[in-house]
Amino acid sequence: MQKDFEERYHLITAVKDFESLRVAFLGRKGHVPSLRAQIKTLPTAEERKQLGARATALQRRVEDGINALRLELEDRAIAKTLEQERADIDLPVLDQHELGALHPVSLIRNKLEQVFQRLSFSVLDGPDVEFEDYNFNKLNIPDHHPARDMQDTFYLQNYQRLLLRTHTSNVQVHAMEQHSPPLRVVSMGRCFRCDNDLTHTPQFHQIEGFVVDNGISFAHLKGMIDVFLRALYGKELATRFRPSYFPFVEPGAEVDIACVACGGNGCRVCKQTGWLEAGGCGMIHPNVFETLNIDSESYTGFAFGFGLDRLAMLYFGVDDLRVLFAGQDEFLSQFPTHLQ
Amino acid sequence: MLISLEWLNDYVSVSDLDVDTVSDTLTKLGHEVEGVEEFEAIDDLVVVGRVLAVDKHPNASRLLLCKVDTGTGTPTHRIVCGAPNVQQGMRVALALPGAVIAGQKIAATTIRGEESHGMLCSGLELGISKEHGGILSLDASFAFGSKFNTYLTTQDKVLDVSITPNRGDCLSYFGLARELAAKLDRPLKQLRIDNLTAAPAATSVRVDVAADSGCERFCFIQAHINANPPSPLWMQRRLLVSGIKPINTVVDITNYVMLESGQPSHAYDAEQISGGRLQVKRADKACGFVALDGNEREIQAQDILICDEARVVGLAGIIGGENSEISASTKDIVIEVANFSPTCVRKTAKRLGLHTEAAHRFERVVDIGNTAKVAARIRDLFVSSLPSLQSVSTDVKDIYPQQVQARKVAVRVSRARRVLGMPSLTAKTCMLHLKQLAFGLLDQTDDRLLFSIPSYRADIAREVDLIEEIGRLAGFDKIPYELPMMQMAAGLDDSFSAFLTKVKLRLAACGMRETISFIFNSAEDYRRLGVDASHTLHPHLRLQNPINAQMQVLQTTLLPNLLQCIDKNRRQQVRGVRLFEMGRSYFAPSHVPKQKFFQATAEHGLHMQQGDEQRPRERNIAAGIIDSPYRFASWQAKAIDPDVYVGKHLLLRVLSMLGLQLQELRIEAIDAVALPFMHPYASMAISDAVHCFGYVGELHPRALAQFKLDGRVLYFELMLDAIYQALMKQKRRVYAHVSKYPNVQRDLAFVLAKDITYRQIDTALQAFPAKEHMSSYRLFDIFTGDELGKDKKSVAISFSFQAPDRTLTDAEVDNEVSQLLAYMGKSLEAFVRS
Repeated sequence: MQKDFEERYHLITAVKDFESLRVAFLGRKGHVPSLRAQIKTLPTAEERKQLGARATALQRRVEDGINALRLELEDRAIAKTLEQERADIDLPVLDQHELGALHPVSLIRNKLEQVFQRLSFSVLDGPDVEFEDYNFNKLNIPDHHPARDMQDTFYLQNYQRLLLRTHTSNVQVHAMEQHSPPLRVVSMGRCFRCDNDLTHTPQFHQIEGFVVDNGISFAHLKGMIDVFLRALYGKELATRFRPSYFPFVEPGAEVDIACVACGGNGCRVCKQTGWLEAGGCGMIHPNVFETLNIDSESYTGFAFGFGLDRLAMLYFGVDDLRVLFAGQDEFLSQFPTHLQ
Repeated sequence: MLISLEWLNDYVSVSDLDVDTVSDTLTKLGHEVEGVEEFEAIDDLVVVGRVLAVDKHPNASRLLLCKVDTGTGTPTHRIVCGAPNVQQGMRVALALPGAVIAGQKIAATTIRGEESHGMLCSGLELGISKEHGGILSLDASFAFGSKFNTYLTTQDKVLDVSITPNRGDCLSYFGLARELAAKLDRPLKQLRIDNLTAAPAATSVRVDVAADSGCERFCFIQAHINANPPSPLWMQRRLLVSGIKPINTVVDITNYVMLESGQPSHAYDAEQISGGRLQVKRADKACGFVALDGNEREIQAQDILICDEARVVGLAGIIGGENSEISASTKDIVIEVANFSPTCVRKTAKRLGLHTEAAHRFERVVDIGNTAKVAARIRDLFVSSLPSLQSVSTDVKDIYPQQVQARKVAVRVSRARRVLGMPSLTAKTCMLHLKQLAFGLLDQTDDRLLFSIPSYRADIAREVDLIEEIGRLAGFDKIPYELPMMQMAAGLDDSFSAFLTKVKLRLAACGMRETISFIFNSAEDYRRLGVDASHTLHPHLRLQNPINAQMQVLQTTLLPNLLQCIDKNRRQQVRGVRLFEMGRSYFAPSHVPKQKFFQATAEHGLHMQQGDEQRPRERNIAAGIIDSPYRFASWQAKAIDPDVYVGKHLLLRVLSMLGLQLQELRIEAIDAVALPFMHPYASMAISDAVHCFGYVGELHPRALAQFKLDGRVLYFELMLDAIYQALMKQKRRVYAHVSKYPNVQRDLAFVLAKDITYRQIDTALQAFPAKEHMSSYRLFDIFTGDELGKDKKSVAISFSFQAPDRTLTDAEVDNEVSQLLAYMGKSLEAFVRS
């Protein structure tokens, strides 16, 4: 009977076939009960015991066999279903046009915002349309000063003395009018100059930073500018400060950075000089403090202004200023949502 | 300013330095060198020759056949020449075969059948003048047979130096030499004034300077000449490489001395000065004036004028008049060397757009201490360089009523140390550097050094100016890099800036790409949008001096720029772009929007002062535009158009990500008058009780057509000031109890009239009076079909029921559902499909 079972067992290929096998062996009239029925007909206790053991062994074998086979067949069925559900994991699921991006100027802006917030600066905003006083006069640039020629200014019709700010330095005036030192402020935003050629756009973007406190020195200005430029371009970046003139600072300087394209060896980007003009800076002019009722003897301060567009172009290797503002998806789609 | 090193070397010795060193030194002083141009020496094979004979060329009417030698006993060269001025006996610059002239090698050649062994050179060909009407005619100082280049150095390097507006004293060779001498610690050679002897000229002209005329000092000399030929070649060359066109000796001398000293001067034809009297005075009324460039300009009251008895002969410090201009026949000359008020000159020059070399210098302050010296220098040059000079004033007439006293400025060494951040700076170093700049030490008490300031340094007014000079001479590279020690502080509230950054990031997270446009539009853009002059969005802020008419007005909406972006992309066959921009709308103070729709009570982060009503209002806006398709058809799903529902989803998602509680928001239809460019029925505004937070919807097909676009385009604007304000006012969220007991779900499909809006259903459900356990509901299907009837629709809603303290029984839920059905039947005539 064991042999019979083994033969029939090996023929089973589907779960439904188990039932007949189970009935044939374990059913009410199956082999195992009929074997057990024979037990009491045997004469000796020894024989009865032996047959009982054989019946139990057969029953266990049949039960185990059926269970094992059922599991195996179930596994096979699931495996087959899964196999049928096989996905082509290389199918494209992401539409490129659904990926968001920030403008390169915003990316630099956000990065610098983080750098300056770590240095405990406040990030303030200022008006784009400004009174002449805030853009010029209160910054030590009186009417009819030749320094006004350095910045070709847009004026508004019908509104006397209103203009589009030519730099973010108006925020210095607002901040110092409304808050007392110590001050640590950065401001980023649009600026406007009546200039439109390959390397100038009538609207551009600046970052302005300034610190007013006791004992602020030109050495601090150098240190701070170095810190933020290195945060952007790497900690090996060299900077150079040379005297220049901005009426609202004294001493005033221009900041050059070692060319980020060639590392300072000289290339097309830096016109073979190894240096790139990056921004202007200086110690806030005591005339500015005095105009804004800040004690120019107790307080000193520094201020700097850099072109965000230029910083972004250098960072991303963009060689055409106009493409920044052309609104072309082909350009805008190349940028991430944040810098590491 | 163009600076020839050959010329510069007259005042400070730089010939032993290479051009990079000179450039670098100037740049480190604050005079940035922006470029260098190199000039070659004239070829050794250009020699001084003598024209022996001039004959007609047998085969060409315009050519001449010359015989030229280089002195007695030298071989004769046959040369074909086209210059009209060649004459027998002329002393010429002869380029022998093999000479390289202006990059071209001269070779023996045959021209129209006649041999030619060399070339007779013009000034233009040799790069020493602009004259190309004929060949150079040399004077007797050029010896026959000598190399031309022994008489005229042309090998030169010319620096393009950018002079900052505070340093008018550096707008000259001498001024820059003074800077270099200080930095390099080399001797400065003064301008040569020899008071050369010449026949004395009678002074026939009288000059009166009115008080308050804006003229502080007026010097003049008078000269008589019998010809006014071209100036010496060396002078022409120096002017030329410095960017000034040589004209004639008198004019060239005035220009030469201006470049040399920084002091402009002007020559008048004395015979044209009526009444023999010049007056310097302010214009008392408007009148016309023809300047020597031939253009008529309008003089206004308060302009400083130089007049004779009858007419205006010059605009002081800017330009002379045509009526008294020096001509070829001028015999009697008055040279004015004066000092005029920088502000007055600037006002006039700016108004007239006359940015002359003279005006440029007067605006930036000319040294009042040097006027008479410069006049004497001009007198010397007349004597030495103008052979046709008959006589010249022996002395300079100097009208200088109020002598300017030297300014005195003190500097504390301790302050210099602190401001520069150079703790090791000593009094000795400070004194050394300031002495190098010729500042005179008057007094030293402890820490304080008192200096007298030279008259040419108008920029030095107070202590910090001297501190800058110390730093400049020491070199900014000697100042260390340090970070300040500072006291911790809470800092200013800059949450608005942080908010703006968040908005950008959220929009990008929704698949939008940021663009930046200029804030300028054309007035026409608004007409196209259907915004007329009386509309709130009409752009009242207009530029006086726009780049072009397309960029004349300041935007009140970001739509025109974004529409142009869509157009640009479509032209490149790029569809489905999703762009956003962080911008501002600008409103004139007289036209600040009053409607709730546009109103924001405060503009954040803009430092608005109380009562600052004169300021235009700037509203912060995030605007976005989505071209169709919103989603391209893919193997997964069909294409989706950017319809109003896409927009609503996007906006609510962004508002929610920014932290606004959506339950508080109201969705309202857009007033077609307020936003005529939006689709009147497929757009919406999102607001709370007080403010509009933004609007979104499809653009009106008429507006699209005006921008040559078709299809569906979605547009939104988020009013960031209002959103920020609402966020700041929003109450802190308080935790609600979480039930331990399960939700019971019942889905009900109501059949009701087709024109019933979701708002009606929602309002009715909100007001369900027997609500006891209903905790939420969610619309999950809308269905219309013939079996419902033409005017019906089915709205399927899934309801949740829950109790805080127990599991609800079916009976309890059934009871509430049946009450709900009865209520919906009564209030909306809705019934449930069986």
